[in-house]
Amino acid sequence: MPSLKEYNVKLTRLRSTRKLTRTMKLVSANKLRRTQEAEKRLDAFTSRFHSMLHAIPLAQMTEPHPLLVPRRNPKHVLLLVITSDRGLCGGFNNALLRETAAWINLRESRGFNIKISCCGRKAHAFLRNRYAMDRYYDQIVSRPEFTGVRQISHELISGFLSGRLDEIHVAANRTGSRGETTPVIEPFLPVPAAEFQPASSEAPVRECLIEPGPDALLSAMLPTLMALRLYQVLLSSATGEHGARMRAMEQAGSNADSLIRALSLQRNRARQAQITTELNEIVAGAEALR
Amino acid sequence: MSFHLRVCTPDKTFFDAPAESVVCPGLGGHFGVLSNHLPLIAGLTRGIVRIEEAGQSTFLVVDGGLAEVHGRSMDILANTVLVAPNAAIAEEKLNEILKEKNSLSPIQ
Repeated sequence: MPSLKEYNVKLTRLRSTRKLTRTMKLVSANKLRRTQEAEKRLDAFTSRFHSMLHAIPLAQMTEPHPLLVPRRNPKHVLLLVITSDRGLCGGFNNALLRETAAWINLRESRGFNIKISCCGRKAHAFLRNRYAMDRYYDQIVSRPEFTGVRQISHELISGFLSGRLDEIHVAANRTGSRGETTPVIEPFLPVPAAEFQPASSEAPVRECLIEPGPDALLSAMLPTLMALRLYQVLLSSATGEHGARMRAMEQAGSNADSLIRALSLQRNRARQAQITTELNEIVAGAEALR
Repeated sequence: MSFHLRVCTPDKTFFDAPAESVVCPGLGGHFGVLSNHLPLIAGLTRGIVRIEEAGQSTFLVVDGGLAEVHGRSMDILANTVLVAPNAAIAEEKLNEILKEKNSLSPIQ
């Protein structure tokens, strides 16, 4: 049986762990709130952006924008994988990475040439030794903001337009309304047809001037639309990450609590046992002196 | 006569107040907006938005975006906004953006 001192050491350690999980939970809660606010702002911005573009009468795009045209024989495929930078968030990253690996293996067996770009340290650490790594975007996941996201989106777009890449997909966790996350791998470029409908013919078209003409305006706004979409994916992943970490810390905290309870019980028993032995020794000593 | 102007990026609102006149860097050249302008949707390029209100000028450096005029209000949805206190500093910041992100512009 461990001595009283050993119990005390263990208990001190457990208590400090408990403090740590509680703090981490609070920090995550705060970050979650901030990300959710950013998500709300982005939502408002995006819907206004879309409503402006929808006001444009259906442009008969004589020649569809190159970002909208699927390549005939796609060969070079880029997958952008978005995970968190840090761990301690349950199965948040693992589920996504498992799905990603399966997706890549399937495509590779069909003869596609797959390259990987990463946002988030966990994705980088997991994938860099297994697959061909294209780019690693550092420092974007922990605090996503639009300027950085635009740069990434811009790089993806120019990779596609230069003909270096035929298809670009994005793998990320999508967060539901109750904070549950599901790994989703979806096409990013060429823009899926359903994604980009300038205006439905039934939509009331407002009378207004359009500078510099519907075609040119839509083409000029496409990169921004893509960046907005990527930003939304990144924020959704961040929301999921903070939520998952909060739940993981809550769980760890309650585990620590029950351990502390069990251990203090044992510690008290050991203390009692020690007192009893000491008393016995004193009584026995006194007896012997008599 | 003034109208309501809002300038925002996905991250922040930079201007939300009445304005008498606004000059914007449109894709097809600069254009000015006064009160009672016709409804308009315009793409913006990288440049300086100059806002006049009660004799005061505000300069915002934008990195492309979309502007809409409807009724008595105007919305500018910009990619990036930098606030500058006067024309000279705005010019400087614009040059910085142009230099720094030269690779960011030519997608057509």
